[in-house]
Amino acid sequence: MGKEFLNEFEELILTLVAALRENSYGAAITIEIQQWLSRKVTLSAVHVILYRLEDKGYIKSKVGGATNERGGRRKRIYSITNAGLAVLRSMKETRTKIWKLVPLLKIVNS
Amino acid sequence: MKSLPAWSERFLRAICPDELYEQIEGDLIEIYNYEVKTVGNRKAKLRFILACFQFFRPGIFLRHKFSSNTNTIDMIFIYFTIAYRRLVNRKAFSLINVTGLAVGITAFFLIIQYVSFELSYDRFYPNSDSIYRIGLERYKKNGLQTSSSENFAGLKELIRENFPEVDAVTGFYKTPANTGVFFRYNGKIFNELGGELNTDSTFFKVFPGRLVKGDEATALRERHCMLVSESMAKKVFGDDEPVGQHIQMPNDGGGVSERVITGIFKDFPANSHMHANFMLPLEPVMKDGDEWSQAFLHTYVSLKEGHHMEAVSNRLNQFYRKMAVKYPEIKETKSFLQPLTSIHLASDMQDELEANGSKDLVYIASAVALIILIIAWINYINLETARFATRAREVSVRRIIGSAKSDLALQFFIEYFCVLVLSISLATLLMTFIIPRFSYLTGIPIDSIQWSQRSIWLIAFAVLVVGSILVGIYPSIFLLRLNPAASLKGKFGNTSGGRTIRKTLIIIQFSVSLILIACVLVMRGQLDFMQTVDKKFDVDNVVTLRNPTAYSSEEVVEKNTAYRTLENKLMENSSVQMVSSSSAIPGTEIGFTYVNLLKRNVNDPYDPTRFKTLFVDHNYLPFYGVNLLAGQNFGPARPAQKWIDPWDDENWLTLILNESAIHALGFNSPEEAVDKIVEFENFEDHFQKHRIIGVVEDYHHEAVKKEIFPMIFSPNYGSFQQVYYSIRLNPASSPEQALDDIRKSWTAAFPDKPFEYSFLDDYYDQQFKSELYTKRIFFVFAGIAVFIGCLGILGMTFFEASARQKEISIRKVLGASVSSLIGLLSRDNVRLILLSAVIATPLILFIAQKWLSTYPMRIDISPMFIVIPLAILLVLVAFVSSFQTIKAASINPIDHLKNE
Repeated sequence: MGKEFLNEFEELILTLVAALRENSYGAAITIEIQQWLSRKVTLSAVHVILYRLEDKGYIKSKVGGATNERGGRRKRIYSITNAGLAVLRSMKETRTKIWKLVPLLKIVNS
Repeated sequence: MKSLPAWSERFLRAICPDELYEQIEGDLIEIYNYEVKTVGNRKAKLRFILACFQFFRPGIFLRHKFSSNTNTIDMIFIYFTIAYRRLVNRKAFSLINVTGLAVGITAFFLIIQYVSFELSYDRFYPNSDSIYRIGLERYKKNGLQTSSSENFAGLKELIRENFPEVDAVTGFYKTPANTGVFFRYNGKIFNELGGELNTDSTFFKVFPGRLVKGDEATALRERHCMLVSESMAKKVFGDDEPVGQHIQMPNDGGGVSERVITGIFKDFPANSHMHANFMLPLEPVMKDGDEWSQAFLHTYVSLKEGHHMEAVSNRLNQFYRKMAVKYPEIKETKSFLQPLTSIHLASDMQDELEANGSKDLVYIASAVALIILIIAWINYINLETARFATRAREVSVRRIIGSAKSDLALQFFIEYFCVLVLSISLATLLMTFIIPRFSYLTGIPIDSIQWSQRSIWLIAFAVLVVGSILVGIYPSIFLLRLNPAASLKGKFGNTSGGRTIRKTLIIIQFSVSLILIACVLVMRGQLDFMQTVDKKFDVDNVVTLRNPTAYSSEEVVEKNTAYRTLENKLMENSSVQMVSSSSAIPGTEIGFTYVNLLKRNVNDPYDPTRFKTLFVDHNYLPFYGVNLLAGQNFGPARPAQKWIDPWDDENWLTLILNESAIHALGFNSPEEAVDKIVEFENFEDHFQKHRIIGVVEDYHHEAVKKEIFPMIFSPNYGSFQQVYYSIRLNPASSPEQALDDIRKSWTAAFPDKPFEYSFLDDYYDQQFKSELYTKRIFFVFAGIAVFIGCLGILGMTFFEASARQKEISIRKVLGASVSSLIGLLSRDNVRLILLSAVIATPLILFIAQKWLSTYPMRIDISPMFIVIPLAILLVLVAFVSSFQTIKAASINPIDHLKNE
């Protein structure tokens, strides 16, 4: 597992792909990020990450349906693969382990 | 949705891989629609456009192209291999191609170097653009008579007092470059050429930044001050500190003889219209009130910003008209301002500091440079397209197998690129080899070939790059247009349109070659003519010496004694036939220009004719074989035991004039003029009656290419104005022996003076330097143009022969002989050459006529100027094309008829 590494943005998108299930495609992910995190992301950046994740084999895609909002263009629905799920899980576990090492600190409001 | 720009779709389609395009566009539109609801239409649209552009990133447009990319990279290597193989496969052909381009590029850059040098003149001052020279035009009743670069001595003061728009004004006079500056330092004697510049501190105001050491304000204040150039300081003082050194310098007034170096100025660069190694203070030579009688100061001003030269000239001429009442010499003159930077190329007046360049020549050179380069390119195209007959099949096969057109284009471009790189390397090699010899060719000193004219070089490089790209593209388009099916069947399309273009190109080449050869012939003819023309005097077997004491402060008696000793010693030798002394020798400029100082009557009106006065002894006319038309020569100086003042000699008040001079004075014939009394103001302050004792035939004293001017010969009795000694050698004795004899006599007369001599015929021929350079330049470039042109012919015949293989084969089968086929193939070339001759003839006549009209004595334009180039070209073309033609005519018809 050691070689696998995802940066924060990649991890976020991978998580979203897992969470959005049947509804995970470029525009939806972009809008979700904006709504969940109030963070500006560009569509092209999301696309590049999606392709990269697909190249690494963490997600797979299939052509989905077209809607009127999209001007009749078909969307590409992404779904997480087992490898993706494993990597996500391992990252989360690692983080939890490290988090446990942090002494319980009290945030003191002065 | 309708309002989304249409181009966005095209843009996305262009940058996105096909399989991603649909979903990307869909996402973009979806987000747009979402944002229309949340942030409004306008903002959403802006964000949409921005988002579109954000897809222009490597992660998108390079995606999924890797597989084809690797293929392309491999293919590029293969293209290089193919290019290499093709080059090696036909070595002779590649050599012609590469050499043609290389020679063209080399010639182009060499000429650009020359052009850039010529254009860089006088641009090294920080304020070059605001400096102007004030020239003087003299008018006579019938219009402009002369224009001179020298103006009245009073002009400086006039401008300083009345022209607030002038920042600074300066005036100077300069001794000619071939007069030596004679001085002694530390016991050593120097006689340095280059002339001296006499001026004052204002010089550094108009021409700032020239002084390296010393104080601009005071460096030329005292009469004993002297400035030297950096290189001269190094030569004279070596490593010593020059400032403050004392030198001894003779002075014609007999006064100051000690001078102090008060400063060092930068050498004038080669691209300056004036040069000097010494600067001295302006001697107060003019008497008060005389500032407006003689024009001998080169006057320069620097204008303040925003003022125009026309306005200043106009105002200046208003002053002149007002002052003309008081000073008659100004009456029919006009002053005009002339930009400093235009002097070298645009000014050709009397009294110029140095011989200037010619704007026409620069234009012609630039045109020739461009034409040679274009011819080289044309040839490359011609040669390449000529080879396409063999290439068409390869291209067709590739196309059918599935090569994209762009891949093929890339392949051609790589081949061309290889040729180009080779030719540029060869050109660089050629240039490093030629540039050291370039100064010999053009007279441009090598160290000053500089990049100062950056715009010219930028244009040159741009021309080269753009041209090279266009030339590379043309053959590819030609090949790619081929119909693969047709050319595989052996039908190699050569459209009549392409042929016409090719023929036109060849005709242009021929015409240019003809014109250039003709130019060389005309120049050679004129130069030979000038060198061999009956100069009306004899310069062969003459050695000249400069009198080192001519302007020195030594007693005239001693000077005379020294000369007598020299003369007597010389005449003792059998190698010396005759000796003469004079103030100038043929080929040197005559410094004494007299205006309004010679007239029939004292009260005659002002006459702007310029008489040049030469002081000679009684031997001068027979020595140089100048023809006496009427009257007699000067008698010898009165043999006296002791020296007498020249004016005590009975012959002092006599003159000999040349034909031009007596005509200027209004005499009709030499006989009429002889024994007439005229008024002449020589060195006295007033007119004296002089008798004309003889009239001589006109001869070209300064240079054959200059107009003959009115001349006054005045006796130089005593030691008066004996500047040059001319010694005629006995043709029977060897020059080495004679020189040795002369050296011995010299040492006896001038024991402590350096012995320097020159042979007059060489010296006189120096006037042809610029013609010689021009002729050489044209010779070389005519050669290059013809050389490249021959390559073009080679390509043309090659092309014709291969395109007509089938025709030739059929003719052969039907019984045509080899010789008749050669005739058939050559006929086209001959026709093209004749057509070019028709085009070139009027141009040749025009150029020759224009160029020759600048010479007062010139050759006639002869039909030979057209016939000879034509003959040369015909012979060359016949020779060059013969190989290919004979080869084509002697093919075996079977080889070319069997594949159908």
